Amino acid sequence: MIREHVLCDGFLKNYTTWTWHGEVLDLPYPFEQDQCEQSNLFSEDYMDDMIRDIGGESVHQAHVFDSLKDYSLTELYPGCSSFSRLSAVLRLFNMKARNGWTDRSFTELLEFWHQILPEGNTLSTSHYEAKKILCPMGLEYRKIHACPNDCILYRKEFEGLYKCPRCGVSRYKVKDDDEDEDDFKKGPLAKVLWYLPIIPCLKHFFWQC
Amino acid sequence: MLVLLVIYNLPYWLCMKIKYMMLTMMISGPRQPKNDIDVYLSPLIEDLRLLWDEGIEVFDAYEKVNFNLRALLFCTINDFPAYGNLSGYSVKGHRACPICEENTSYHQLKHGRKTCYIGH
Repeated sequence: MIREHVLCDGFLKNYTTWTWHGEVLDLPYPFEQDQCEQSNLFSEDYMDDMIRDIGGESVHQAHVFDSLKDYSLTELYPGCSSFSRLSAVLRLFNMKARNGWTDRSFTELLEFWHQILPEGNTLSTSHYEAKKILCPMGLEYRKIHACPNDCILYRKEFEGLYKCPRCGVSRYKVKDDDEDEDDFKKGPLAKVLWYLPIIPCLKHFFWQC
Repeated sequence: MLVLLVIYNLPYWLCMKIKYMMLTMMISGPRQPKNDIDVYLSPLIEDLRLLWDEGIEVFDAYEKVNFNLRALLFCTINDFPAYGNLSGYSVKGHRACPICEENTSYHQLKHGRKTCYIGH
């Protein structure tokens, strides 16, 4: 349905700010008189368009679209008319990226803001949580586990294995004093390949024209 | 270790812009994969093969049409040691040139024992 909608109506002409490619989100200034008088004030023009675009891209991920929609409709705090949960996190993330704040400092900042804002606010309290909200918007990536001796990648027929079938080394990092078989199945991964699939990436290029 | 893809049929003043480069792979340490790099490249190669054999349906926002997008790996840009890993040939010793193979012109210094490739 979303796909149909995007195909029929075309790409949004007023979606000019590519927040996912380093551009700064130019939200309407929250204190403008006419803005405050509208009933639906979560800077809808921009946010709605953006969510629609994301929906178009990930047609197969309807749940992602829904959760984003939810976040964009949640008030930042009861009675807040200028920011939704999504737009607030988005804005903060933009600042973080622009100024190179560390993840830890961002968590501290979020905790602080959580205290400043009125009771019952929905602002995430940690970097991790905030990132989880935005995750579906960025381009996907896959973490593929690998054998530390470069024999295989744990994908396809090797997906469920805990040991490399060629050299017998564990998929996970093993402590020297631990020889217990079960411990092979937990812990940090020995070697990881980060793969950012190129096909969605190419699709993205043509979406952007 | 990183693998980047650059779209090469863009105008030359655009194709090296960071916007049109795609980071496709990050291989974690502690050692580099050396000759086993093909193991890590396999997901990428699968995608490239799909793009070459069948292509993918892509929506072009400018023309507002769907079209079949195909892609081809045009060339690789890497340093000389990585060339050895990618091609699986030797890049040192008496047969250092993967193009000339056994006809590589080399000269080994008599006392220093170093190999040089003067006639190459």
